[in-house]
Amino acid sequence: MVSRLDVALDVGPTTDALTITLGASSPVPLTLPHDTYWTLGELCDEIQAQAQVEVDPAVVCQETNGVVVFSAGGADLTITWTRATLRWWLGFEATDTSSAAAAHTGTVSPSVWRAAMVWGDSRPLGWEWSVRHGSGPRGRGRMVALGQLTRMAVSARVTWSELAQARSVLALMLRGLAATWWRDQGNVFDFSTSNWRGRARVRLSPETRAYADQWRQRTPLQVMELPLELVVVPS
Amino acid sequence: MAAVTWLQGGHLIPTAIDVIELTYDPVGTPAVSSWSPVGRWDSAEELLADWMAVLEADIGPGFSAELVEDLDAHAASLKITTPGQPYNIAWGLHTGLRDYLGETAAVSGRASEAVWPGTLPATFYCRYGTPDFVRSSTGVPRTHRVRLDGSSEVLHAADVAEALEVDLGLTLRFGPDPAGAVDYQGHYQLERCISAMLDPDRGGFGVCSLWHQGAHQSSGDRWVLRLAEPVVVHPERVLGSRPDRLWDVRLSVIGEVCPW
Repeated sequence: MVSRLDVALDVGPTTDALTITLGASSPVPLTLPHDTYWTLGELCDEIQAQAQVEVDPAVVCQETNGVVVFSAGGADLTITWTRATLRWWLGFEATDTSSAAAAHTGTVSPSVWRAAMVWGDSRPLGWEWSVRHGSGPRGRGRMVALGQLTRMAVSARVTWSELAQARSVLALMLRGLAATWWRDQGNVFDFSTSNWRGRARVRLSPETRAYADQWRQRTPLQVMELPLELVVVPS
Repeated sequence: MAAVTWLQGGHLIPTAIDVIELTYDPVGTPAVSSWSPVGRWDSAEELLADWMAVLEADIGPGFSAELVEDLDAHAASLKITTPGQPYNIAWGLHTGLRDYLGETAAVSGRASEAVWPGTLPATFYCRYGTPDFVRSSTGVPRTHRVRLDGSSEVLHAADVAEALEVDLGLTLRFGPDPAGAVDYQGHYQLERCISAMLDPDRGGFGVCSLWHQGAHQSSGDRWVLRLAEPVVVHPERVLGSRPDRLWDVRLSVIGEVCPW
């Protein structure tokens, strides 16, 4: 049961465009619909769907383990990045795709953290209510709920090799971005009362302003623990 | 018998908007009681006792109500005992009281002593007793204060008979049947219970009654409690227990107790 976090990308004016050139054809600009793409896979699916309609049905944009690959069935492909943030999000440098090639493979997206170890979950599921008080002596008036948060607390375990990905994803989440969290990568269904270990859309809890590296073994540095307080994003 | 702890949310009806009309023996010799309650009840049992008194005044003796625990559901269901014949129940347009009692529609031809099919949302019944119930502070700690000039004054709540507010930390321990399959019904009933306690449309006003019956005790101690902020329910695994079998949840509550 290994976890994965994919930070969601809100595609807008600064992240919505790229240009694909297939062989000697004219460059074809693509514009992505402005929407929230909850996983890197969803974003790639949208790019691929656009490219197959606008450029050529053979164009493929696939994500595997956080790495994005563009290809077109062996034909040469060039990608011009109109939006630098989209390029960065997909794991490419500006020069990576400027030359024609049969496939362009990025590095692991900064929005993806695939855990190598099982995470601890001593408090896997809970709730918090925001409340309002009615009047009454010594505040004894009625208390009613205004809203409710679903909370999930985990203790993420980070190996040395995945530290950069973990910090990248947490830096994005500390900025308030939401993410898709697979408590168990093998469980591809949504979290529900009948699928307790399903994937959930989460944010860091509102009171989270920082995260703490807690090293379990100082010599050598092998495993770090990150206590994470997550809240479920209402659908 | 092991220690057990259970909880019932209170019910508040500020104005007469609910109607509960019970028809006893509807196909024989019908007798009708209609009740439109107004008031505050700190537990379901208090409200049911008042309702039974109304039934006995309107129809005759022999009515009683009991909450039957369903430990798999971590909740309780209602059972009405009549003098022998079945009964119908019609509810008014407002459904707060109906929902509070765990019913979803009109009741028709229900037999005496039949347990109602739904559970009361604002109840939490578990297989285990609370491991601790911590009194952390008292609202009014002193009865007088000494000024810098050496004189003193009597403070509010100097009356020894006046109840004081006390911050309490309550731990509930729960889990599925140790011999059965793992489920998370306890989590969901806890969420359902607190949500109902804070839902004014179902009569919730943040107050509940807690009973704790220790091992070898024949009856339980009872506290009337208010939820304290922040209202957080986040169960934690009990260290050393089998995975997903035993959980502790800490609730911050406020109780009213006599100061000494």
